[in-house]
Amino acid sequence: MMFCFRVIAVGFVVLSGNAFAQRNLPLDAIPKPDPSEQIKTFVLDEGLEINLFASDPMIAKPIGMNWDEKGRLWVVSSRLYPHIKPGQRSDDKVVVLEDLNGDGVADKSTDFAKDLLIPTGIMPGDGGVYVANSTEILFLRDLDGDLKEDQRRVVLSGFGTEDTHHIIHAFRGGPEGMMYFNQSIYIHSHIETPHGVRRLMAGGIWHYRPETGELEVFSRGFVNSWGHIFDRYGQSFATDGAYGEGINYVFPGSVFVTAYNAKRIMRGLNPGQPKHCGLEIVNSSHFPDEWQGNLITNDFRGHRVNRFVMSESGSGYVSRQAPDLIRTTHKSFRPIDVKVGPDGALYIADWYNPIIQHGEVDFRDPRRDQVHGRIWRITYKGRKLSQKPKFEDQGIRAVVNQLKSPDSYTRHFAKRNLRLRKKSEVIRELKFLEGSEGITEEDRLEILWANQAVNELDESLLKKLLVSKDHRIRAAAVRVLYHWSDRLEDHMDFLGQAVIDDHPRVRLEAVSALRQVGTVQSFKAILKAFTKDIDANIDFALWLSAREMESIWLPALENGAISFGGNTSALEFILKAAEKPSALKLLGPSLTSLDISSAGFRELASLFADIGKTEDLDLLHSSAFYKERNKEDRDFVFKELIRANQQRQVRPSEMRIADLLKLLVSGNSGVAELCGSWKVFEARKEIIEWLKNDERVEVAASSLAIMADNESKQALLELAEDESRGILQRSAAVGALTRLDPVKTSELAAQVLVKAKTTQSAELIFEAYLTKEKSSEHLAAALSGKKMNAEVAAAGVRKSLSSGGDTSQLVEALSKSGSLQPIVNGLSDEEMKLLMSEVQSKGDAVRGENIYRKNQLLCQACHAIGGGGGLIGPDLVSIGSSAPVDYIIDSLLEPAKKIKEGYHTTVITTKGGDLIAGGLIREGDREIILRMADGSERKIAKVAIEKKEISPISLMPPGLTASLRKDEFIDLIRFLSSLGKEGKFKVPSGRYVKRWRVLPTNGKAGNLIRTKGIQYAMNGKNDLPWKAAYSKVNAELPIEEVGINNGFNNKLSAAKFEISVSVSGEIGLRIDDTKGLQIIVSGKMIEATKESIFNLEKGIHNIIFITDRAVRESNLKVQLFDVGGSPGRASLIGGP
Amino acid sequence: MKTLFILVLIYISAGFTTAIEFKNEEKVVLLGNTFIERDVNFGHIETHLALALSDKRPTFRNLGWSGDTVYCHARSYFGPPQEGFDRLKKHIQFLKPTLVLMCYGAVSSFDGEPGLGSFLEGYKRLMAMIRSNSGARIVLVSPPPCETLGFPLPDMEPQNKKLALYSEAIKKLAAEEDCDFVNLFEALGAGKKRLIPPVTINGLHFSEQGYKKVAVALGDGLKVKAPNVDLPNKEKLRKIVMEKNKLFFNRWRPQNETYLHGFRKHEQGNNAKEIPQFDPLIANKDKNIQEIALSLSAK
Repeated sequence: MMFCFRVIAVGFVVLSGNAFAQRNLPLDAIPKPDPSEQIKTFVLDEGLEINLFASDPMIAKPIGMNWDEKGRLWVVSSRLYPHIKPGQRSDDKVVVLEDLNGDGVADKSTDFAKDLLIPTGIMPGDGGVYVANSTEILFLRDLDGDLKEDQRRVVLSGFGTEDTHHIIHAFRGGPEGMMYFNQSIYIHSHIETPHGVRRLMAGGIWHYRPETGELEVFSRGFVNSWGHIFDRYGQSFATDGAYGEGINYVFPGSVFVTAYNAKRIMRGLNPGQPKHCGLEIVNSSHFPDEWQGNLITNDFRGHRVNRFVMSESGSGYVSRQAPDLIRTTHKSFRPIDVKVGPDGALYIADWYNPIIQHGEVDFRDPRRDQVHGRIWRITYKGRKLSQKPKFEDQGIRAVVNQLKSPDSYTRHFAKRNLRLRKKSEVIRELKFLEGSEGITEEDRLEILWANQAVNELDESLLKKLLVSKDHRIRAAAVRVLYHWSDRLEDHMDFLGQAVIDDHPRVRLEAVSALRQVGTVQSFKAILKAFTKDIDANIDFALWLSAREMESIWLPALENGAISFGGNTSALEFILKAAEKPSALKLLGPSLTSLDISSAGFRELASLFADIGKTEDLDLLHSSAFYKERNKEDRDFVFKELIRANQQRQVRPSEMRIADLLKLLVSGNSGVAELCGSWKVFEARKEIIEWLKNDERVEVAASSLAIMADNESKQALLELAEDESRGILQRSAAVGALTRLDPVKTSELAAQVLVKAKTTQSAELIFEAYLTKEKSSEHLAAALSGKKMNAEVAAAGVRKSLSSGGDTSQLVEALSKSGSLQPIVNGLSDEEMKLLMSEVQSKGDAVRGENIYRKNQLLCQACHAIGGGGGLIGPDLVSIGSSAPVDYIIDSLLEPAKKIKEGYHTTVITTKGGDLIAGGLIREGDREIILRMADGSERKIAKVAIEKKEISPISLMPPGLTASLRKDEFIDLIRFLSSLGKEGKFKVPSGRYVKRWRVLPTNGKAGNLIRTKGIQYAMNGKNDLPWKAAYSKVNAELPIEEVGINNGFNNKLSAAKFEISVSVSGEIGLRIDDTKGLQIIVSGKMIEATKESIFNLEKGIHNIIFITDRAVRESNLKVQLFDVGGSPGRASLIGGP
Repeated sequence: MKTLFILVLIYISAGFTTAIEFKNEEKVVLLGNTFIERDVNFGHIETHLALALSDKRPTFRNLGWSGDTVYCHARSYFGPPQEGFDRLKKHIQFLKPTLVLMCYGAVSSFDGEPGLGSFLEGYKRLMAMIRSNSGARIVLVSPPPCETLGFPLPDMEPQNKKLALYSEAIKKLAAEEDCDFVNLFEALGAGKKRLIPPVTINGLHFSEQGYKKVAVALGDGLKVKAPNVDLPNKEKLRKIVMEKNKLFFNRWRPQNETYLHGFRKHEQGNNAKEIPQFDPLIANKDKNIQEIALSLSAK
């Protein structure tokens, strides 16, 4: 079956604007909503029990929940989600659930409020309840005790509603009495407070103190973060419902993926995880010891409740997955929130819906469930429930005493209760408790926080805890100064110590607190952090401080108030972070130092190219000619100089033409482009000569195009018209001329295109027309009436459809020239139904996985499954459990129809008229960084940008599956729709190696192995043709995908992966089958054992597996583990 | 010379505080920041003016937006403030108001004197846009004063000084721009005396009772008087005003804008067809409000 032309036809549908057509499909296989049926499908972790706490009709569509101090569960529920219909009443609810007899089942449900519009967050407290309602946070009060709203006040307003599953949510009471809440990527909020207006663009976490009206941003970023929790020591963790890095460690000022205007971001602790919703910490005496401090979150796509075990690592943490609490194949089980209840059990809100999302699935999809919802309760077999605390009608002393409880629930609500009591008495009782016997450091911290909860600072206690023996307590005490340094007169004395504390987390907190202080003196104190070890979190905090405090330190540096003495690395760090042009001259010595690493040199070179003036570029240019500079770094400088000239029209005053020509004659292609960019006409003759050389023709043509004088143009024209040369070479010349004048060149381009027989030969012409604004229509006109090779035309169509501009005319012209037969409609509903049923009846996921892994489909080049694979498209780890089958089919045939948030194509039009399309990685104040379709990163200076748009085009070209037979297509869909569901295609938990580099069978490599031995061949200094390979979903790397190279007397295969060691020490590898397996680490080769342990230093390490293929034909399956008793911590490096 | 100039200004501005002529079927737009936006939840301003102007059968649309400035900072989504400015332009073109009550300055005044120049420049630009896109008459309303409610809420005295400066500048701007001016800052006490009970909930944002006072002060500033209406009837009217406001909010500022009209409209933009379906529902409420206001005024 020729899927090819059909697919192209589908492309037409997209362009003609019919993309909206909602499919009328059967409500396939939606499970019965009976909870007693649902509960039977749950598979629980050992030791756990589950019961239904509440269900419809008591509760429908829970979105968020929180307990109150009386042990009642408050839930926001919405039947209006995703969007109110005209004429529909906004009657969404706040529901209160009560378990009156303590049997773990709710007996009573009360509608507290019922005129809300998609309420997304809830937190009882302060004598009422805070509710997120669209643009506002409301505070609702019951004045007469009937559990119904009597009084409404708007507490904050101005939150964005650009997407109803991004509106403020995840309300959390902080340990110090504030409230925290999150907003997500599409939200833009503008909030007026008595302290001024606060704005937050895109995602982030806010904190708010109602009694003072202070509202501030705590952290920024995340795609859609619905989980935030504090641990015993006040440290924050968050989960993201649309980005798969598991648990994220959040510290003040930290910035994560997709944050607005963020040049730099932090990463999550579990890359390659499914997305998570909700987050809770187990601090409950009902659960066994080994569960304490564990984090519980929900893989709502994969119908699972996950558990992570945290351990400390430097200033941050390591997070390891433990067995799931619940897994099920039940399609409507959507765990979205989790909270420990007053009895110490875990309560899980099940949104209960076969359909999630409304970005990709229609608002009005009939499969959406609007009436059901559940709250499940998980207990641990044979263990006593926690004691339900009582605060009402208790004296203040009795409440204060509960701060010593082992249950975080009790401690938390004790503090919430104290906020309602008489402040002076609360303070007195807290003092009394602190002076009583048997008080631990943890108790003291709770007392400090309880004071904060009533908006009071206990100075003497704070000073004690700032010098506590326990670093976790010290860090928590420093956090108090992050918020309240102005309330402690001698705060600088303490922060000055904390910033050189022995423990990195205390130093991290100190840097953040000092940044808040925001004085020359506090910046001087920050600099002391450079005398100690700097890990990734501290590095970020320092970088942020350098940038945010620039207006403080730069004048101080210039007038001598700050000096760096001999600490040049601190100076360099600060200057680099701040990216100030005036600081570049201070960085000159580093640029020309030979001590600097290659990566450090390149980073600096980019900075010079980004912001340098003429004299700075002189320095950069000459740094390329240092004798000791290696070729790659030198070529990098040339690229950066071209970029500076192209985007900012800045170049050195001294071009060093003689040096350039010398390099040019030696065949350096980077120099050719540089000479083109700088119009070094002395180089023209040599470059024109290169046009005759098939290997250099492309770079020569593009260099001459940039040079753009008559002689260069003439040379290009001659080549373009030279029928004795190959089409590929002529295309290079046509492409180059197109950049100069797309209109004039179009005839010539069409003439060459009609002769092209291979897609590769036409590529440069398509590329040129598709990356120049408003030029593709001219090629379209020139092609009119001409016949083309169908395959070439089809390739052109595919390229056009993922290019970002309006290419409809070219697509039409190519289709005509290539006689591609358009079918006006895509798959009809009938065809879709048939295909879906065939996927169900005939599809084979095992075969489908093999098809997915085929190189020519390029799936793995752009997508990962659980961490291994490309980053251009979304990770597909749970696509099968989150997306209906018709959605997956549509997405393969019409990639632009539904695009995952965060993966839209950004199209930039430069002032020079170039079109650049890619996925947005980051946007800083000075530049935008895009991920291009080939996986590379591209930096574009903002000054060079005319227009930036988010385009409805997908970077995934349509027609990638065109080469598949229908049965193969069906298998592929079956495979994708199985991903994330219970069964063989659920990515196993555990840190399995997913990303490999394998050595193909290769003459040069084989020769090296035979003559010098495997260890020598693997020493990292030989240029071997390693290629990317990824483990299958079951974490096995198929051994047949690794090449065989014959050694002296054996048949060897080599496969390697990288790990990043964050804390030096012993690191373990667990290997399923060690037969015929040796491991090379740091140049040493050892025999593999089931648990191979290596002592590794902090940094990146290559682990090479050598397989003797004479004795072994089984796959490789390798897992990273922490060695008991060792401080060593490592993570796998994922990605493409 | 300078004194004379000021005297002339005072004379001119005083000259323009005579009652405005209200037209039949006046289409009134309320425009501003949080202060304007939050009246959506109470409806006091509209109820008061609907009663006062009942014979003119006016309609009201509240385009207040929390945190907004004369540059429309809060009205933009993914783009720069200009995007918000363009969005407001579309709303003005759609609503075609005949009278716009504008109240800006509360947000910008946090910048104090250094921000004043940019504020006035932006205000002029905004007024020009509204005039050229609707032909509406404009009434400038000064931002209300803040209250100092005591610890732990902040002292708003410094902010009131800034607000006084901005109010004075807006008054002059109104004179220059030949439009009416309502001095809400002065009318609500200029922050000089503490109102008992307070009119704000946190020193900045008005309570429901506060908005009652605002409504009357605004009416007085516009030289219109609402008839005495018994409370149950007034509340009945206010309830419908609030219902209309809710409907209109979903019309002009719908949720999910990213999908309806934003960069993901190619995915879910088909659902945007529902949004104009609010129009007849709103028109019904308008009619209802006009009729009730008229009948209550006739009593």
